[in-house]
Amino acid sequence: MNRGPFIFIGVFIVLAFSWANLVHKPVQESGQLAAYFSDSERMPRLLPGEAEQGRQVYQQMGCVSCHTQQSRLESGFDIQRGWGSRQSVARDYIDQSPSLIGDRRLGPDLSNAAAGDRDREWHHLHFYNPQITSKGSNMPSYSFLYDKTAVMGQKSDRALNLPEEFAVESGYQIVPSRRAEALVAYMLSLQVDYDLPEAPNPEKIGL
Amino acid sequence: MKLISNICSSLSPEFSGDSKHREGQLSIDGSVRFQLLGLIKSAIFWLVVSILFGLIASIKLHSPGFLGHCEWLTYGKVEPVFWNSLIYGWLFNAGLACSFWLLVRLGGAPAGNGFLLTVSLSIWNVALIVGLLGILMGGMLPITWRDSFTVSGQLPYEWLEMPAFIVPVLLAAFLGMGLWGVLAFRERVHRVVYASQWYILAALFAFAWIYTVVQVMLMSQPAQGTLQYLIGSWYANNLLMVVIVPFALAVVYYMLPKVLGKPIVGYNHSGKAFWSWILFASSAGSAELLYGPVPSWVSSVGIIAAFGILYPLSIFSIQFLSTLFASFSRIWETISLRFIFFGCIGFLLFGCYFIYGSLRVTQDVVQFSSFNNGVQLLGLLGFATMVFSGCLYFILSRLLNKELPSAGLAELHFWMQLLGVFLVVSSLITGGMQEGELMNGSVTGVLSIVANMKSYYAMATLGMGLILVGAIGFMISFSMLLLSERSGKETTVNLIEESPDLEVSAT
Amino acid sequence: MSEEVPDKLNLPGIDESKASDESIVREHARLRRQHVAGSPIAFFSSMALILVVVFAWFYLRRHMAGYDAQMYLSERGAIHAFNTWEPAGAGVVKSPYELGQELFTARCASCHMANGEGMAGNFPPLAGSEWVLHEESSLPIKVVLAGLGGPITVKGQPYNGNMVSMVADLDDQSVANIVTYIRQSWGNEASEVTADQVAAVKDEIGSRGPWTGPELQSYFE
Repeated sequence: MNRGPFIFIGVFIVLAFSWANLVHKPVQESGQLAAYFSDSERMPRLLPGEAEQGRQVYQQMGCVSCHTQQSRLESGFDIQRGWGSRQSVARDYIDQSPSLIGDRRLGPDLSNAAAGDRDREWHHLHFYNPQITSKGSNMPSYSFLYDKTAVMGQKSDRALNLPEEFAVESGYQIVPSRRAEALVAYMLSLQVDYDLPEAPNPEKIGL
Repeated sequence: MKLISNICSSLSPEFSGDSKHREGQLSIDGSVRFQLLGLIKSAIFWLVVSILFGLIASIKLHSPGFLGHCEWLTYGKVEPVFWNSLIYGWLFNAGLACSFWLLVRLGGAPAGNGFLLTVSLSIWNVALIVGLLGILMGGMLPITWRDSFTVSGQLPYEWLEMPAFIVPVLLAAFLGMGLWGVLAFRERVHRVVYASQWYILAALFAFAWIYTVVQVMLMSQPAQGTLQYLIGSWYANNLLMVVIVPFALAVVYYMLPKVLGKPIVGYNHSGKAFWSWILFASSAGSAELLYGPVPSWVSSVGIIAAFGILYPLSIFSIQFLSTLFASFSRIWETISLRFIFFGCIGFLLFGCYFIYGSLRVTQDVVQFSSFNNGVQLLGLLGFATMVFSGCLYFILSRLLNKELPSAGLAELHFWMQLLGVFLVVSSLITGGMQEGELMNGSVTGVLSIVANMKSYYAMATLGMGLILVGAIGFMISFSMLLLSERSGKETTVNLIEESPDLEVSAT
Repeated sequence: MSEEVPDKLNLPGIDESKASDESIVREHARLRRQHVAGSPIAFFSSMALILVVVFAWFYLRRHMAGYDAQMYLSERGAIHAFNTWEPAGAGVVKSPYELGQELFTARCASCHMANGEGMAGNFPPLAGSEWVLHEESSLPIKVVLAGLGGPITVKGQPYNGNMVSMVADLDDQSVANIVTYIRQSWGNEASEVTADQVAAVKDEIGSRGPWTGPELQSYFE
């Protein structure tokens, strides 16, 4: 090992092995997945335009630092928690670039954020100040995505209905900005409620 | 004016004296002095910046309202800035400074091509500033601006959060620095190659390789959905395991015999350790993809490779610990070995935790918790940062031919960093195990898990604060060293004694 | 004490170097060629290597999921269960009537309603409709295949709607199933329709737009 080229070639071969096996092979084998059509409905569903903008806000705010978008079947309590109904599979993500899968859960998984009874209003209050909807959460407030404006005549119908203790002084209202609306539209589009043939769920593995 | 003339004398000193061997060293050091000081200066700057952001991020975990109204300081931006400035700012600059110094010293010949290194290290650091601003400003620039710079803010891949447009610039700058390293290696007069040089060459090559893969497969022609997640994770783990760790291992292999005056115990096993480390560590990262939306055999290969690290780790542990414990008293006499001693302990713990954390039984508990961040920080702070700090103390006094200005400051740096790293890492690892148990082993609500974790986050904040104090101490030491006037003693080449030959017991 | 070791800590000063660079390179190169028999490092690293190999062997056998790019499970038991699973009811052959009902619910029921009563004034009923129950089954087949627009009369009530073909993507058997379903539900009792009949009508009418009432008037004369 007294020659530079020997070390270079050796390291090249070892790294090329790692790359070929762990990166190149999966890309060759499952890098061209097509959407699945069931009763002529495309799975996964495409995001509506506003939600697609919200995806960008989600990315820019670094939400992926704390939230994953994947659910596991063989381990954990993701399904019992209602964060998913089956194992996430590659085909769920074919429309996502960059993919926001994430590997840290400081907060809940969001792959099914739209499931349940949380509506637009809930999400806006949550982003404006998480303490309103989830007291004790350590999620930061995204109040900078909301504008505080003077009420001109009648209150805007988009203005948030803040509870008493979080209310702003009278004569003012909190109105979501375009980015906040997009982010909420994105949240409301996150739902994996379709089945794919290759996706295992509790029933298919006999749980 | 005084300070300026002191800086000039630091950068281009004139020494007197008759120490012949030392003059040879001075000419070697002199050939890289300006560039190394550039790297070290940037490294220390980035250390302080990154720990500052780490502190803010850590505070936000238990007091989310802290600096809450600042869009550019929201947690999702501060946290990636912390990791990226720690890795590409501090660890890369410091690691390259140590590595390049080792390359010229072990090669025994002054290096040329100073201009190449100066230019590429400047581009690297400027690009880094732009990239980190890109994370912070994501979504805040006017739309026309965003379009013209194709800035869409940060990317969602671990340790690759800087906007895509900066990646080619960083890659080009790194290729410049790497090329300089290879040229310096080629100019060596000692033809035999020491273990440190293997690791440095491997790390230089590995980074160019994995960063090119990122540029092609994530930025230019992004792979499909879930494969981006796979490539991002492959990159991040290789960045840690076959770039940063080898830089630090190179320092350990050099500094132990250098300061102890004894050879590495069992050095004839180093080759096996080197190849097996590169082989296993470069595939070990995909273990963390377990249960994810990627083919399951990928994570199985990762788990096997992660377990394979046990083999090189067993060699490293005996080599380092036997060498260190054979001359234990010497460790406390020198500031550089103190750092490196704890760095070695940190490395062994890191290796053990890495293997342990990759196993299925562990991942069933700790997946997606702060455990992984704790282990990563154990490698980045507990090992690499400790080792680079120690080596920089050793390099600086030789590079500038000056004595370290203050024992107090150096000790402050040492103790604060040691305690701080211990607090941060232990709170994230133990806290992460508890968090994971609740998150992955029960349906406990997220809010009660957060409440449960508050004390751990507070402990991590305290740790970050201590590290910050240490880093500021380091920065002050460095500034004083650079700005102080040369004392009479320091103008002679005899300030640093000639090194004797390595003692090898006659067997 | 302090006089004896005035400078025990070499701090700050300079960390002394105890070995020259040249000797480090030279001596270690010599040590690398030297083979020491029975050193602890050889023993422990061999033990570690054996452990690694044994672990890899068992793990490879158990969790490699056959290198399958579309397999997301890693436990052998779960993989076996997944591969042998069949949806409940699989293997039971559905009757044309049941298949027709599924298609009707998905494609037709939004206008004609699940009970076949349509919507008064807008969408004509199918239940008891002379168009559906016509003894010549080619009439309902023609309407389903190509659609029907403009003013018509159903069960004595005038309608003026515009139905386009909803079955362009279906094969003959599926169209036949739909027509069979509407001819035999909600009290309707007319003959079953086969794929051959659908094919015959298709050949006859070719590709065309919706019918109008007068075009089909011949059936009621």
